[in-house]
Amino acid sequence: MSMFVIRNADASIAFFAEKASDLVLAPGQVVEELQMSFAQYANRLVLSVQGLSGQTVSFPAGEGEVIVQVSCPGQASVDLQINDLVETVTLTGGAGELILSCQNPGVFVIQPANRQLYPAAGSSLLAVVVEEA
Amino acid sequence: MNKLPPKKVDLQGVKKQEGRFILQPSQENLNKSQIQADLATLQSGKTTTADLAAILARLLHRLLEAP
Repeated sequence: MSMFVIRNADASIAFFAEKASDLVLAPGQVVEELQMSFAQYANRLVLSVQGLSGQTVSFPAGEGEVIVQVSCPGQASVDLQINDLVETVTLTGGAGELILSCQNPGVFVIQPANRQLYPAAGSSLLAVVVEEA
Repeated sequence: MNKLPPKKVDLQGVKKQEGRFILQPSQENLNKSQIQADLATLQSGKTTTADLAAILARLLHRLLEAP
């Protein structure tokens, strides 16, 4: 069982794939083969809201809050970038959470701060849109 | 099928307050709030020369910055 990680020239993860045969690489990108399943790799860091991950979720602006569930099995903490801010999320049993305020409309983009360790793609990237009421 | 060009989005800043993450108001929303405040000042019937000068300055500034 193996899968492939495609790294940019700066060693950050560009994306990952189940097969290497159809890959089209940009200049400077390299392919790494890892002995684990695609699902195992993708589940190393999962950001979700109400069970939804890997997509954009929307909420109305107002007094409400959005709870982002962070799953990073086997880790005690993980550094996440929330727009321009980097936050260390403490994990218990590989799980933690972030609380986003819906006070002001706009977009939260949450992604791993360490892009050499985790990709800003798939379930490791979450966009939360706070829509003007 | 034609692909749409990617739309560049400038992300707002975020601050942490009492354990919650809050988006900083966008410049667009700040401008909107200022325009509403200026309108309210003009419609109040108690606008001073200093108020008018400040409102006019903001208006001209916006016109200069407009694409």
